[in-house]
Amino acid sequence: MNDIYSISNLINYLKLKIDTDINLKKIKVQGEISNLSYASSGHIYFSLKDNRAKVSCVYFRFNQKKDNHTFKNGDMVIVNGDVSVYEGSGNFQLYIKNIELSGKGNLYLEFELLKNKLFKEGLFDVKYKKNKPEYPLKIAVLVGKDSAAESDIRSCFKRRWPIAEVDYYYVLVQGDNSSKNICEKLIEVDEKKYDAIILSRGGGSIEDLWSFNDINLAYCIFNLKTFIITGIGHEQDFTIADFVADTRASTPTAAVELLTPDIESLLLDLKNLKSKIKSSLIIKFNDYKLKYFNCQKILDTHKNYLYTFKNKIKELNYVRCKNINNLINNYKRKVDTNRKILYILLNKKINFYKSKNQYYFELLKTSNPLHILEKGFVIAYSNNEILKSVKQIKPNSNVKIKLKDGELDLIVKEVKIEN
Amino acid sequence: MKTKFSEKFKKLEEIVSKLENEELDLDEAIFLYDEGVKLSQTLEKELDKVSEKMVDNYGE
Repeated sequence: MNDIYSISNLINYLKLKIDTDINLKKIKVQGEISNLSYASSGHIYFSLKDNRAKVSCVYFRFNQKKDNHTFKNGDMVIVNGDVSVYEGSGNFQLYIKNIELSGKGNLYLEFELLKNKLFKEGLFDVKYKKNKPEYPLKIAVLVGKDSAAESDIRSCFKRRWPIAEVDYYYVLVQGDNSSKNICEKLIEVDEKKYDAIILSRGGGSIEDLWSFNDINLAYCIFNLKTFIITGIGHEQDFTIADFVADTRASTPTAAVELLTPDIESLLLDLKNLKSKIKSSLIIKFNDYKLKYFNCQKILDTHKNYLYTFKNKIKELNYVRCKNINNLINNYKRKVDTNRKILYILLNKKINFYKSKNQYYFELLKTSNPLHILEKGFVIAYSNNEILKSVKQIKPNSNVKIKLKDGELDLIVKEVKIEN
Repeated sequence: MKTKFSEKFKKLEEIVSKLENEELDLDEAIFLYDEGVKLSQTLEKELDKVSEKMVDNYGE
């Protein structure tokens, strides 16, 4: 036994051991199909598993029945076949002769039950989905450390949206503590006011992705304040986390692509917008310029009108003044003439009255009753009354005699009455 | 109120015609004569006043 085996010798030895063990021939094994793959050659490759263990299986085309059932991951089956070793990989595997369905797989069943329960609770309801931020600039990525998913995400960010501030939070993406770990990180990240969270994991079997079907994780995602997008596994893989998240992307790269705008096309859009704005501004400017010129023209026309009117008014004013002056002068002349006439007439009247007055005065003078005194007549008064009869006088009474050149005071001696 | 010029003149005319035509008592005639002379003098003054005023206002 001190010989040194070659790999081939070692594997061949094991193969011989297994192939000759009748306990490993034509055996029946029950398990759940996972990692199912239909090869182009027609052979079917998959794993059979239970809660703790897993074995690779090959179902060659020539063993498959014509009416064979189409299998899918999660199917619970009972297979019939031999155990052998495949030298190429050094793996032992089951070479299947026959497969019978034995009801759905436990994990699949569990998944369906949980999905229905959460669906009924409304956790997948569209009305709870938050809107995707249009230009997320602060992003948290929850991903397995040094995983393919991480490098996919990093390169996608670098290519599409390098301006974002992206923080990577490493989580366990499979295994017993995985869900709890993811929950804790999500709660921590949710407080940091990110624009969006990416929860991502690369492809794997249903068991590998099982952490993402945890009920507590589902509630945790549902209660997040931050927008969350998942990119878990491959196109065909759906997890509960996918259903609860605000948006589901099929892969880690797709998650970044869905979340972020492409900076190149955005820059192009900006450039187009810029030139659009510029050209519309130029059009507006020219428009206003034209309007301005038109206004200027109109203003000029009005200015000319105004100037003409002003001149006309000036002219009219001059004519009017001239006319008024003429009128005034006319009236002045008339008034003057009339005044002269009036003066003449009035003078005439005055002279007329003057001469008439003179005439009357002369007449008065000629009929002056005192003229008789000139002829030697006298006038006798008693008590300032003219005496017309001697009977008015008694002897010894005083009498006044008025003569041409004076008066005489006399005392009556005797009164003689004639006839 | 002052008696109007025309009334005064009329009165003077009346006095003159009365003295010329009517048979008057001497005392009545003397009274009328005095009144006539006064009236005539007043009228002359008024006419002179008007004349003066006219020359002041309208004179050339």
